Amino acid sequence: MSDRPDRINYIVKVLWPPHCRNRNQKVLEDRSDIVKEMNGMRSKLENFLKASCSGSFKVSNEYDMQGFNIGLEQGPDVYNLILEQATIGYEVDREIGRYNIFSDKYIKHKILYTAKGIVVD
Amino acid sequence: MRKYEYITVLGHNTIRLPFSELKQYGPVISVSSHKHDVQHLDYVWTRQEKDLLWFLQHRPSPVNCVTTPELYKKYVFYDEVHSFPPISPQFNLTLDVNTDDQTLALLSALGLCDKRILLVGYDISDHRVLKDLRSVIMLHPDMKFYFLCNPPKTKQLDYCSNAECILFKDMERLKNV
Repeated sequence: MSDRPDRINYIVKVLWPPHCRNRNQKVLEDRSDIVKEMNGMRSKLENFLKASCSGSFKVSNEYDMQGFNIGLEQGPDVYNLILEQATIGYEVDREIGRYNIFSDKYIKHKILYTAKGIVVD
Repeated sequence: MRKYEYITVLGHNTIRLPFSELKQYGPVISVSSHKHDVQHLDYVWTRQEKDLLWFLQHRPSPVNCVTTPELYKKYVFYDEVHSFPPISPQFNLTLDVNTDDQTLALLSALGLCDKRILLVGYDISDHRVLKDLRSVIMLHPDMKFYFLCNPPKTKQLDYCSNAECILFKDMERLKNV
């Protein structure tokens, strides 16, 4: 992962709904209903983040066949985003990026759901 | 994050110099035994969970903690918790549970700084700590190390060209270096 944009300490990928994933540009041009659903999901997440985040965040505009990246400043906001998946209706990718002050890079970690809370491997 | 030009590593020994004065020489990274004047510490190396929580709960603002991979994984969502920097394979160091906290604080400092390191209250009475310190100094010829102490000056680092022993009373001159 690349160098850090301002104040973004965590990168989380939110996955598109299953039937919207792995769609190439040609398919998306023909299926406006899927594009509408994807845009709707992005807006819903952005509104949720506006309402719930105490730190800054940035929703990426780059297209990815699996989902879209969200950059967050604060750990508790990331924790909340992961916890609320079922309530709001989205799926977070198992891999998150955390900024490392020594290497100046985002280090990837796999999320683990344990009885004592969410940790990384 | 931009690297600091100067950083101070605070070891196990107690020092008479107030931490507020030490701050004039750059950010301070300390071992976890210094729990007074915490507001003047920028980073703390700790391997104990209770110490980690103590520093994280410090008010008005928590102290940035560098810790073991095990604790980092557990506290990854705490913005002030950082994992230990990746160690270059060329290091002639055996890092294990017996490695001294001072050595690990020094290695963390190396990841944050690119010019000059001040070693303050650094206890080199243990043979392994001294050996590790010499290895670190020799592997970083571009970095300058200043070992601060009270008289008499130690001769243990004399053959390291990029290390110098300085008395606390002469410390002021480091501001102009």
